[in-house]
Amino acid sequence: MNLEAVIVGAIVGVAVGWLVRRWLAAARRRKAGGCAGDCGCSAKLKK
Amino acid sequence: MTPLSQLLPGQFGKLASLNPERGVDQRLMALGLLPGMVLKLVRKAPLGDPLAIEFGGQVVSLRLAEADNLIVDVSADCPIPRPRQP
Amino acid sequence: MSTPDAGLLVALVGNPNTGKSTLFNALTGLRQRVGNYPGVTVARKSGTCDLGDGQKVELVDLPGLYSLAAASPDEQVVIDVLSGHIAGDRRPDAVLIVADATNLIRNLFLASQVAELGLPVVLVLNQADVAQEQGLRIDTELLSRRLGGVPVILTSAWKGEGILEVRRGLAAALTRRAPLRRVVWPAEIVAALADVAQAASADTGKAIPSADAQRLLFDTNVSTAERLGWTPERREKPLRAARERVRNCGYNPMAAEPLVHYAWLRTALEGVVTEGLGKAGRTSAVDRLLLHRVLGPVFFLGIMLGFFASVFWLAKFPMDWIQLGVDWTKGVVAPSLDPYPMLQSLVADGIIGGVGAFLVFLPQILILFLFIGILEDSGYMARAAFIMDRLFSWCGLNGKSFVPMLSGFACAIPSLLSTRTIEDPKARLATAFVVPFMSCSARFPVYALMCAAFIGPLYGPGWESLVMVGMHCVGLVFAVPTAFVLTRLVLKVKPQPFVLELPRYQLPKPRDVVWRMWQNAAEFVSKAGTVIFAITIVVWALSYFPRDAAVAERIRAAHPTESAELVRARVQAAHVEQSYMGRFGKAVQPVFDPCGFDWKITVGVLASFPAREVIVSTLGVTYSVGEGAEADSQDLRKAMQDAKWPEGPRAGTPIFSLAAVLALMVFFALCSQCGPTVATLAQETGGWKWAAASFVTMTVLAWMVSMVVYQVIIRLT
Repeated sequence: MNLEAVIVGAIVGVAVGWLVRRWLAAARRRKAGGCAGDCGCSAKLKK
Repeated sequence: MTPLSQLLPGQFGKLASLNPERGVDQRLMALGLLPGMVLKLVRKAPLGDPLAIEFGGQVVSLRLAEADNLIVDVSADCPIPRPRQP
Repeated sequence: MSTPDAGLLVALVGNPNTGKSTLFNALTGLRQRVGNYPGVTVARKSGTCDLGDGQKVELVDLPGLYSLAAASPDEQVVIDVLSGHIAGDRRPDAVLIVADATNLIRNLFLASQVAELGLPVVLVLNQADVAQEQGLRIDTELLSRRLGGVPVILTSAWKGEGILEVRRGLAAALTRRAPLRRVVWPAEIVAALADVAQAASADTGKAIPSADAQRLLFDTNVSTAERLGWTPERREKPLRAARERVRNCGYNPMAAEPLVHYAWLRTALEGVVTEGLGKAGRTSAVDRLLLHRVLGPVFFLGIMLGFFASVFWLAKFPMDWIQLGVDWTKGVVAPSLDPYPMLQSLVADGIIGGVGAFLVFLPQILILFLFIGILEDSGYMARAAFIMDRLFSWCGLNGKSFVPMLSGFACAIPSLLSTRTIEDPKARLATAFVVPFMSCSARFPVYALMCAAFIGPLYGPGWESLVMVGMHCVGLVFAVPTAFVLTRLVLKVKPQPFVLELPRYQLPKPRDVVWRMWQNAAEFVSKAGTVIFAITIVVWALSYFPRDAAVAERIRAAHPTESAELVRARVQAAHVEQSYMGRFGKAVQPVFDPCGFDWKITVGVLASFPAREVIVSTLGVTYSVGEGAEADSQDLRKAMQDAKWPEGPRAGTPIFSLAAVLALMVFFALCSQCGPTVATLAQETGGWKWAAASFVTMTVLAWMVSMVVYQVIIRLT
């Protein structure tokens, strides 16, 4: 295994892991009734 | 006594009665539209509905169907409205 | 959740359109954060306010409302926060009530309701400058005395006047803790409230403060009862008896609260406001034009068209600059990675190319949010709802749905959340179902890319703009019958009440509008920097692997006479084709073939499910990975312009024919619910049934219409 493959593999692995973790967190938040969108809600209309 | 919906644009009236059980009327009361209050039908929307009514220094939009339930006294002794407009 | 370092919590409450948010910005100096209330999707907007004596408090900006008799879950949050019923948040230590100085009595109705909660109050009379213009003089000393000695401060948040006094007033209120004087209730009503409190307390085992008893007695909505756990069976008799008691002393129980409060307020306000000569307001004059029977809709259309045109045209220059920046970065970074082709591809094509293609559309998003902000702050939004209401009522909705629909053009998710202002659950569901038809900002990049690459060069900028606008209308065209069918036939929605204040026109405060635009942009960029970034990497990996050296050999052997350039291009194409992504795309492609999509487009459509902007990045990856990773490689547009069908009945013809381009855009116009939107829809409708129905309906509709568009146009051209 050369260094290049390791680096690329690491980057891709981190990306995948981060996405999975984020989606799981969103699912958990949705169950608790919170916001499931990725947007952070600041785009919500001013009341 | 006429329903608010039958007023003409620009006409004034004094609110005689409304229906407090309805959500619309409750909102209007919270805004200060209570029996005895003077109101004015400012205009109708370009498509004919809803209405813009003015009372207590504010202008509020109200649908024709909902305005049916608000009975207004249009007899001549309505006080002249304040000169100050929103 | 309150931040540990802020200590004290102050809630900002007031009617809509009082400049409350401007005041909030002035007090917090834009040191704000947005969070969530657990269990509710209303955003928790908070900031740190410096009281001037070294003391810092946390200020929470609550949604504007006219009465604590909440008509929607959003409004319910206000009373929940003030009562301290929000899990994880403490009860506010003081309330800052913001009132419009030009309409004191109506604004104080809410204040007199807040008074029942017994919290220390600071009363701010905002828009004092307008009041002065109108010739009003307010005796704040007298008012303060009448209201129990609470600080009463005149401000003009827009001009930044009076802010210092507010800070001082807050500091004073937090030390002296003077509450607002409460309304004096008739004796029978006091007794009725006591009865309700007693009955509820006995049944629920909880202490019932008088504010809660009032909500139980006077409200038709049952949220307070539900929150207390007072079941319908147990509360029916006591409430009926208590309301009978109220009726016996001459008040309709449903009208008692406003009647008593306003009578009390009229006495309290006697002599407080003196009306002198002032300038007549400009609002009615402007409305004579903007709400004119004929000119009104004309102006409305003009404003809407102007909006789309400016989003398109104004953004062109910054967009080109960003593209240049992206290309330059690629050109600088790529050659240094030459010895490592895999890493080079990841960085140049995957990361820079992919994310860059998405970032390019930042200017358009900025202008979009800016425009919506201006519409809201100026007061025109209410007029737009007023004009549009008739059309909405035809579908069983009301003009309030206009606002979520319009903001759906920015992003479907906050738009879905804003449907919570619609009281009727069926109307809310219908609006939520239709919102995704509004072309959200994630689709901008697709339209813009397609138009800039194919419509503009061939047909000129006029057609380019027209097609852009047209695509936004496609969604609307299908939204209307869908809404109609849904509200009239499927859900059978009752006609909606529509009471909307047409506020005074005001000049939007530039700092506030720009600040909100900045917040939205920061979120857009962080989305690009995070989710899209990660997805782009994953998509790149799926398009790159598996890589087989033998493929290169095979192609070189099969085309011995062709130039090195051509062979290299073929090799690249072959690599992508046999990657995981390519194989998946090819497998699914027959479904989209009648729409004119090739497998790369299919892959883009599929890969963009998690976030629709990703299609541009994906096309960026699949086309530039396929076309070579040269440092100064053409940008995506050129790559697509040159793309031709390699084989099959259309071999040799351009993939991106007019028909295919339009079909793709139409497909995106009608089916662009990204994953988070579907999830939010599921959450807002309380289940997966409607979200799934929405997704399936829209996808099938998109596929059919897209196919029709392609088949028809390909025959005409």
